[in-house]
Amino acid sequence: MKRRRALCRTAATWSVLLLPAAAFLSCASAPVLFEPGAAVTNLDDMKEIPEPAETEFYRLRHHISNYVDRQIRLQLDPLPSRPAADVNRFGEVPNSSWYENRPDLTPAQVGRGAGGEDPGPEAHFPWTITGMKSGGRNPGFLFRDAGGASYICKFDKLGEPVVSTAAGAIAVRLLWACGYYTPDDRVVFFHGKDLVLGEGAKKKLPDGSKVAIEASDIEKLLEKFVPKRSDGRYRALVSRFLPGRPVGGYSYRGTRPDDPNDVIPHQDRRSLRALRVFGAWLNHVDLKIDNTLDLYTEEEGRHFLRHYLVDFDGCLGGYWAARHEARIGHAYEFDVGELATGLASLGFRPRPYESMTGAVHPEIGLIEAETFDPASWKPNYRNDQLSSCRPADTFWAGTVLGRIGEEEIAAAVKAARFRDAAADSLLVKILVERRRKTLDWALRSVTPVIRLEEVTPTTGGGFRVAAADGLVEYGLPSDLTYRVEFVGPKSGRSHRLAADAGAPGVEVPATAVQDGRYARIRWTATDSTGRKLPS
Amino acid sequence: MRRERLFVRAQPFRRTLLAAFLFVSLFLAHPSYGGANASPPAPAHGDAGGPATDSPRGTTRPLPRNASPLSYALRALLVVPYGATRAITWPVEEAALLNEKHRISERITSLMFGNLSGGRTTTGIFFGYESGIGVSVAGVTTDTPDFLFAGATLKMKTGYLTSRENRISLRYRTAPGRISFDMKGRFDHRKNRPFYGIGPDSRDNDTYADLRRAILEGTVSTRLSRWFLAAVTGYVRDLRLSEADDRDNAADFFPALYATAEKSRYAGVEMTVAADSRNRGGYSSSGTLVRLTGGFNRATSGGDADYGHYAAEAQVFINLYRHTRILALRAFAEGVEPKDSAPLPYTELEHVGGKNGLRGFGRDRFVDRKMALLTGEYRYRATEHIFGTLFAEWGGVAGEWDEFKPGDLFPSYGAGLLFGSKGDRLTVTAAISREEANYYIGAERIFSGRSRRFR
Repeated sequence: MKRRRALCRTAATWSVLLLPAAAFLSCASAPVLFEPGAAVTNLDDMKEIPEPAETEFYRLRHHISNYVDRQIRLQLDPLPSRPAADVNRFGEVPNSSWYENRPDLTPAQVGRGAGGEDPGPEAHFPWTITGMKSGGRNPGFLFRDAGGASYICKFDKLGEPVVSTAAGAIAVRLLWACGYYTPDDRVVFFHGKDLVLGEGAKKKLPDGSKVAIEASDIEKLLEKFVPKRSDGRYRALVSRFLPGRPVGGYSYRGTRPDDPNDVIPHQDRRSLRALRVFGAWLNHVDLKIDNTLDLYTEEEGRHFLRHYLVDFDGCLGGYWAARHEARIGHAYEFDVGELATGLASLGFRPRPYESMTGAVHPEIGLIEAETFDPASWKPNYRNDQLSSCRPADTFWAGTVLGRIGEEEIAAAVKAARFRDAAADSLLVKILVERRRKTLDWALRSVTPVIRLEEVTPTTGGGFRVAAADGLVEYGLPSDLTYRVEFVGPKSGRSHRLAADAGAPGVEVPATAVQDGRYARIRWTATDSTGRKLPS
Repeated sequence: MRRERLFVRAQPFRRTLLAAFLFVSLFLAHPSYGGANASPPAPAHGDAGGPATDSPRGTTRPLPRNASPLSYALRALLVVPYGATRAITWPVEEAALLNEKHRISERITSLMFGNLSGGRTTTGIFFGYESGIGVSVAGVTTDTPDFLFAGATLKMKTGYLTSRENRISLRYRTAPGRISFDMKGRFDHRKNRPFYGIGPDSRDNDTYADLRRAILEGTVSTRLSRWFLAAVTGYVRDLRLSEADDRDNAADFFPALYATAEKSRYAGVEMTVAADSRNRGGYSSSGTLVRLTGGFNRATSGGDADYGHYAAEAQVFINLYRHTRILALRAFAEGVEPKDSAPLPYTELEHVGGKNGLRGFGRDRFVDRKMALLTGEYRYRATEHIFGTLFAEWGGVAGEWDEFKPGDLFPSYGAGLLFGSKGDRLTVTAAISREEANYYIGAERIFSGRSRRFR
C-alpha cells in the first residue's frame, strides 16, 4: 500500500512539475526564417478524392452547442488563436478550393457576380417546377428553366417585401468579389403563367414522406406568401444549382475527416477568419454551418470538394425581416456577457442599439453606418473561425476590402432591383461608409506597411526597402508616423521616420544586414492619439 | 480505527483525483482542446510545377501564438470547469442529435395522434417547479389545430412526474371569432397539499391532505368591440379531501374551520366582463386590463351552503422605454358571500399565496372569505430574449372587507428572469417573505389572472 501511495505521489509531483514546463516550452518562440523561394499563389488542394458522405445539419444540436459549449469554450480560452495556416510568406491567401483572389474586377463584373455573362432564368421561360424547398424559414420551390439550368426560388418574408431578396442578391456579389465561392443568386420577376408543374415533382412533408405537388400547392404558395406587383409579376431570389453533389456544410472547427485535401483546421484559415471583417461590413450575422456548402465537383478530370458560402438573405440587416431584433450585429443571439451586464445594470443603462427605431427604409433591413463600429460587431452565434481572427487576419481582409470601391458597391446594389430608387442610393451610401469604417479599423489592426516588394541595393552594402502606408494606399487619411527597428545580434538600432515621409520606406544600413543576405526590420506605427499599432 | 476506515475510503477518491489530473495533463498536452480539432501536420503545398514547400508560408516552423506562460497556466486551470461543463452539455447535445436524427419526438407524436387530425398535431413538454411543492407540473401537451377538420382546437395536457401533483386535462375550443366556445375538462390529484388555518395569522395551524378535483366547464364568450369582451361560464365541480399519509386529517386538525368537509360538489354559473387594451397576452408591455366577475354557486352534494362570489382585477402596464423597460401593476380583490352567512367548505374560500400572487409565501398560504392582492413588478431587458424582473407584492385575507387592517397585507419581494421571445416564456423566480423563500420555474404567464375554480 505504501509503495502504491509513493508511486501515486511521485506521478502527481512529476505532473505538477512537467505541466507548467510543457506549457512554458510550448509558448517559447524563436525567430522564424522563411526559406528562399517564390510566394505560393495556388494551393494544390484539389486532388482527386473519393466521394465523401453527406453531412446533415442538425439545428437543435447546433444551437445547444452554440449557446452553451461554444460560448464557454471561446469566452474562457485565454490563449490567442494560432497564426493562420493557409497563407503564403506575404500573409496572402493563395487560391484554393476555399478562396480565389479576384483583385482586378470591374464594377460590371461585380454587378454580374458568380453568374458572369449568363443572362439567367428570366431569359428562359417557362420554368418547370421540380420540387418544393424544404428547410430554412422562407417558402420556395425548385425549378428548371427552358435552357435546362436548375434553380431554387425563394421569396421575401411575409410583410417584408424586397428586404430579403435584395439583401441576398447584393451580399452574394460583394462576397464573391471578396474572393469567396458563392452561387449565382439573382433577383427575378415572373408571372404565374411562367410556371409549369413538372412531371413527378414531389414535396417533402414534415414527417419525411414525399407526396406529389399539386398545381394548387403553387397557387397557395404564391397567394399566401408572395405579394403580386401591380404588373402582375412576382418578385423572387433565384439561386442556380452549384456544380457537383452537395455533401453538407463545413464545420467551424477542425477538418473534414473524409476529405484528404482538407488539412488545415477551418479555424486556422485566414480566408474564413476574414469573414469577421467582411461580415461586419455587410452585417452578415447569420454565419452558420447551414449557410456553407461543400460540393463534390469535377474539374479537369479530378473530383474534389469546393467550399461555398450560401444564403445571404440575412445580410445587410435582412435578418431583421425574419426577426425584429435591434441587437442584430450588436450582440449574439444568446450573449452571456451582455446578459451579465444587462442584469446588473437593472435596465438603467440602455444599450446604444436599443434606441434604433427599425429598418432604415422599407426595402432595406436593419443596417446603418452612423453607430456602426466594426471592432464591436457581433454575428448571431459565436463561431470558432470568427473568434480566431487575429490582427494579421483582419489586416489581410482590409487589403481585400480596399480593392472594392464605391463603383463596385453601386453595381452590386443595382442587382437588388429595388422598387424605390432612393433605396439604391441610401444603401450605397451606408455600405460605402461602413466600408470606410471597416477598412480603417482593419488596416489599423497592425502597422499597415504594404508593398514591400522593391529592394534596391545602396552603396556601402546596405539596401533600400520601398514600402507604402496601407491607409494612404486604400484612400484613407493617414495620421501615422513610423518607427523602424533593425532587429538582430549586431543591429540593435532604431530610428523614427520623418512624419512627412509619406511612406514607411527605409534605408537599411550594411550593419543591419545579417549573413550578407537579409535584415529583420520591425515597423511600428503610432497614430495621432499616441496609440502604438502592433508591429 | 476510525481513522483507518476513513483512509481506506479515501483511497479510491485519491486514485480518481490522480487519474483526472493525468487526464487533464494529457488533454492539455494536446495542441488544442477537442481532440479531432487539433492541427494536423503542415501539408505539402505549392504551385503546380513550382518548388514544393512544407507550408505555403515558406517555413517549416510553426509561427508562435505570442501568448504568455500565464495564459497557458490559466488555460490549464480553466480546463477543469470547462471539462465539468462539457460533461453536462455533451450528453444533452448527443440526445438532441439522436432525437433529430431519428425524429424520436415526431414519431412519438405521430404514434399517439397519428391520423386524428390529418397529422397536424404538435407536441410539447411543459413543466414547473415550485419550492415547497416540488415539480408541480410536468408532462406532455399536445395541440391539434383544426380538430376533425371542424376549425377547432383540441388541447390535451397530462403530467405525472411527481408524487405531489398530477393532472390530466382536455380542452376543446373553436377558432377565435365574434362568438367563441371553449370547453374544458380536468382532473387532478394533489397529494400532501399543505392546508393553512383561516385568517391572516395562521402559520402554526397548517396540516396536509390529499385533494382530488374533477372540473367540467363550458364558456361562451363574445367580443363586443376591439377592447371589450364578455363571457358566461357554466361549470360543475367535485372536490374531495382525504387524509394524507402520516398526517392529521384537515377536518380533525381544524375543528374550527367552517364546515370542513371531506368532499364538496358545486354547480355554478358566472359572468365576466372585461376591458382589455394590453398589447400582448401574458407579457404585455403597455395597456390595461379591467375585469369584473360575478357568479352563483349551488351546492349539489347536500349539507353545504350555496354562495355567491365576485372578483375585480385591474392590471396596468406602463411602457417606460421602448417596450423593454416595463412597470406592471396589479390590484386584485375577490370575495365569497355565503347564503345566510352559512359556513362554507374550506376549499371554497378565497386564498392567496404562491406563484399566482404573493410569491414569497407558500401556495394558498392565507385563506378566508375575502382576499386582496397588490403587485408591482419592474421588467427590464437584460439581453435579447431575456428579461430581468424585480417585484414587490402585498396580499392578505380577512373574514369581511371592513375587517381588513393595513397590517393584514403581508409583503413579499423577489426577482427573476424571463426567457423567451414570443408567446410562451420560461420564468425563473425567487421570492422571499417573513416566513420563507420560494423558487419557481415554469412556463406559466405572470399576471395571467386566475380562475377561482382551478385553484
